[in-house]
Amino acid sequence: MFEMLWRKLRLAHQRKKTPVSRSRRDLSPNLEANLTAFQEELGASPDLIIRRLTLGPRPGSAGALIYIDGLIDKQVVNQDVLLPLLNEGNWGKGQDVTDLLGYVAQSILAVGEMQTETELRQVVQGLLAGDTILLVDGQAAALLLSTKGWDKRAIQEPEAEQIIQGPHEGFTENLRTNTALLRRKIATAGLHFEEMKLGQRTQTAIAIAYLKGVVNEKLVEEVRLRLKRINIDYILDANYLQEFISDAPFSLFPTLTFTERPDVVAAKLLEGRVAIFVDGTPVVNTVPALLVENFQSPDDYNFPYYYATMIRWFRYLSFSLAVLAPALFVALGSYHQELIPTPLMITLKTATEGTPFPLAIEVVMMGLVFEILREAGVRLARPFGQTISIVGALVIGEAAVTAGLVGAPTIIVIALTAITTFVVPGLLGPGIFLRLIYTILGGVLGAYGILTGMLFTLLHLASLRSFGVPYLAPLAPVIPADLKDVLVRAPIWALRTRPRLIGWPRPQRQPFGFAVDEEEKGEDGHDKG
Amino acid sequence: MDKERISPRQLTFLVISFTIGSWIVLPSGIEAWQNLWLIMFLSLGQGLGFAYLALLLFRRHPGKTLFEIHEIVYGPLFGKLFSLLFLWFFLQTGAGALAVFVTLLKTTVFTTTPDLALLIPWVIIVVYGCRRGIEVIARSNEPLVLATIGLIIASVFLVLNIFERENLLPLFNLPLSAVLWNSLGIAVFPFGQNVLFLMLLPKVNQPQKVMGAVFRGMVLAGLLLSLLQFLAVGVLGKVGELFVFPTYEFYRMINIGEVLTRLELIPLLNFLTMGFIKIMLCVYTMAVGTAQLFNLRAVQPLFFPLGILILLLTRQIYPSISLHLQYIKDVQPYFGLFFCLLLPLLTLGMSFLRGGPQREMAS
Amino acid sequence: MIILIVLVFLGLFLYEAPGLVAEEYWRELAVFTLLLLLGLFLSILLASGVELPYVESVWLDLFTGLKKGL
Repeated sequence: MFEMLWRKLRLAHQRKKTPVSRSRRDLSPNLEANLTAFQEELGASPDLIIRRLTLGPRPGSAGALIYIDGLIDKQVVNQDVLLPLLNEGNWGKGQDVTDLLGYVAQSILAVGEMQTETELRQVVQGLLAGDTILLVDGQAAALLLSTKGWDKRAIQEPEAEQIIQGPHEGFTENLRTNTALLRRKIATAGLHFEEMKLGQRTQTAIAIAYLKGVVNEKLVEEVRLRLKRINIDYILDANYLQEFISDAPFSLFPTLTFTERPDVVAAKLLEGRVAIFVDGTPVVNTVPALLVENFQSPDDYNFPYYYATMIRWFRYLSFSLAVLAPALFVALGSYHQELIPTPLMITLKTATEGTPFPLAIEVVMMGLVFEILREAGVRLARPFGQTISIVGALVIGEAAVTAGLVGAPTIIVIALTAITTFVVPGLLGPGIFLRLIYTILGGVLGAYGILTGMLFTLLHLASLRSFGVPYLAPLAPVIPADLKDVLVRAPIWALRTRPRLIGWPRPQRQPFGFAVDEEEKGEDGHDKG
Repeated sequence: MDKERISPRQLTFLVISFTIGSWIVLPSGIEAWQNLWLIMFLSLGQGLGFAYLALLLFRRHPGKTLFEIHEIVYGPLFGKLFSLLFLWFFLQTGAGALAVFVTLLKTTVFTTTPDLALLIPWVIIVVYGCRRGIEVIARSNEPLVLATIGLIIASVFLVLNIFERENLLPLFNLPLSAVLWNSLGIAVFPFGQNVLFLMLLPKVNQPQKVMGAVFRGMVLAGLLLSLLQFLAVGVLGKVGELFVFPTYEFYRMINIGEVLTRLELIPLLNFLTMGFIKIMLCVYTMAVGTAQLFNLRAVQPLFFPLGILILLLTRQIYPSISLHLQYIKDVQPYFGLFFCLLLPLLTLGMSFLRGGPQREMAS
Repeated sequence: MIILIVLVFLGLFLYEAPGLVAEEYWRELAVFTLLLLLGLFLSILLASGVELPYVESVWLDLFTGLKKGL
């Protein structure tokens, strides 16, 4: 049903997408008319700075420099634009300049990136992106000087994706900084960026990045196509795009991955994926996404392989616990009591003696309380944090047990899920949903209910695709060669091939035979392993 | 029709889960209990023979489902009649398997849960899976089969301390007729049921590898079932044949140092997943068959009604498990033989009679 | 109970039929409706407590009859 609904929505969406008639308006040769036009377009905003000046050899013609305060680098404008323009020595003695703008661009301005525009809207667009505009009376054209410069956050480690070892830099809100961070990681000519503007009003810059030669060209084409289809008013974060281009918009599971780390994006590009940068947010999407990616962390590759493998299995275990622990607890406690060893059973019985609610309701209720506490903890101003933990831990947890409202084992199970949920941050949302559903199913139908729920999830996951790649790969369909980075984290020298379904245009990462041989250290060429 | 394709390996996995399906919880040929694991090999041989005949049929008409072959061989009217017979076979196979699983659940763990509460979620999931298509079924089947294989192999280690070699004896204490009869019973069920795959073979993306894939699946399934029976006999001994669900009882016996005990729920759930896949395949095949019977372009709308039909029939399969055991003993071999050997053989013969090699390209 | 059953089947019909009508799959609609009506008929029979024969008992009787006859 959802698919049908979605198709209908898409159709309606496409039907509406008739090209918006834009008033095309060219600049006039008259400087005053142009300045009035600018003021009409932008209103009387105080950050619009218009600096009039006289240009050219005496007597000179009138000109104007227009920029938006705050979006430009004042140093550049003053030193490299204004100063050369006002320095009379720069103007050739009495020579006749017909194309004043061209002459200025050619010989005077000390700015690297500039372009000439004749259309008003384009000029205004440039102005709003941080360019400085130079207008001259008598010429129906404007010179756009790239003087972008605004206050931005320094490069920091992303708070949501901390690692122990490895690079500690994260993306920022500035698109150019982000692409530069990526270039610093991958210094090959094959790293291509493509930019486009999306969002009718925000005109947000979107950049696609991919590694030519490794990436599947059809994938890039598909990403381009899906991005171009978007018709949206504003884009403030990567998620705006994500919900548009996702394969399964109604699914619980994210079919795009997001990260704030340049090293992660670099690794994904090197596997043959495509990254989508959005200006104004440090979050970068990569496609196609697989479920197993959520269980991989950059730390896995920065630590020895045996340790990384173990940690990865802890992650699998934690996620299973986070999703299944309350459900199993409810199912065992209310359906399959005979399966619990007797001593444990007695302990459980005494602990839950006299609690008024059925186990399922108890667990769901406490789970809800925990989610609310978590949400409150995220939203609140820092100083209130302590209050929340006191109220949460002491008042609700302790008091509920002492008052006999809730059994202590319930609190233990909820606490366990609370911890384990955060181990796999990429699946936080689906995890919470699945936990709730499984708990209810476990309460209604016991282990059979949980099994049906899990099978449903499995079928759903198996039906998902992310940009043509089965979401559950390499587990379903099983791709034995790719399990080396899923079931274990094989040593780096053994990760010789890229994921089969994504990096197939160039499957081999490194030549065979680079295993470090115990006896013949330093000699390569013998294939091992 | 649709463009869905499965790989030969996925076909192998589907054959494994379809064969293991419900037999693993309720073995046929129970009166040969202690010899069952040996008889299994005999049955496997027969089953491979049946499969070979059926696959000859497919090789003669590549890219055609069983129902399309029927129409080619017998003409539209009689072809449809034969197809209807097979539809009933698929329906009864699916409903029978479902009924066995529900009985298993009812008699062991979920004694107080009403039938419908177990059946309705089951059918919902089956219909959901079918609507997603055979590709999705095949894909999700892969990890499930791997889990089952892992579980069966793990049980070798779990029963080390309760496995009694004396329990295996007496061996070879059956008259030859009983051996043959029981081996036939196992050959038609579970191995013979694989005739159902004749409806799905056109969806395999490498038709030349179909025969190998099916054979590999059947042999693997046979080995797994034989191994499990071997362990069960070694653990349960002679009394094993008294149980209706010996596999379940066998897992109940596992006890390692009083720590790992009462593990029966895990294998139970695991084998249920095989049952889910089996019934999904039945419903899917029925829908494909019905669509071809009525020349329909879409299969999607048929899953819900067929799922409901299978649900209803499940309740009307047998009144009590003892009647089912009797049915398995007395009727099933004939019934299975008719569908798994005689009808395909007849079709094959007719196909040869109707003249020269028909080389029709895959549609 | 019967009302509930009818409601479920009606719901299924309403869920599936509009898509079929929209794509003009008339044959599919006919077969779908037929099968659904069959299911409805059977479930009403079962719900109202009518004793229907069991499939495997029928086969058993048939085969024992055949054996006796031979």
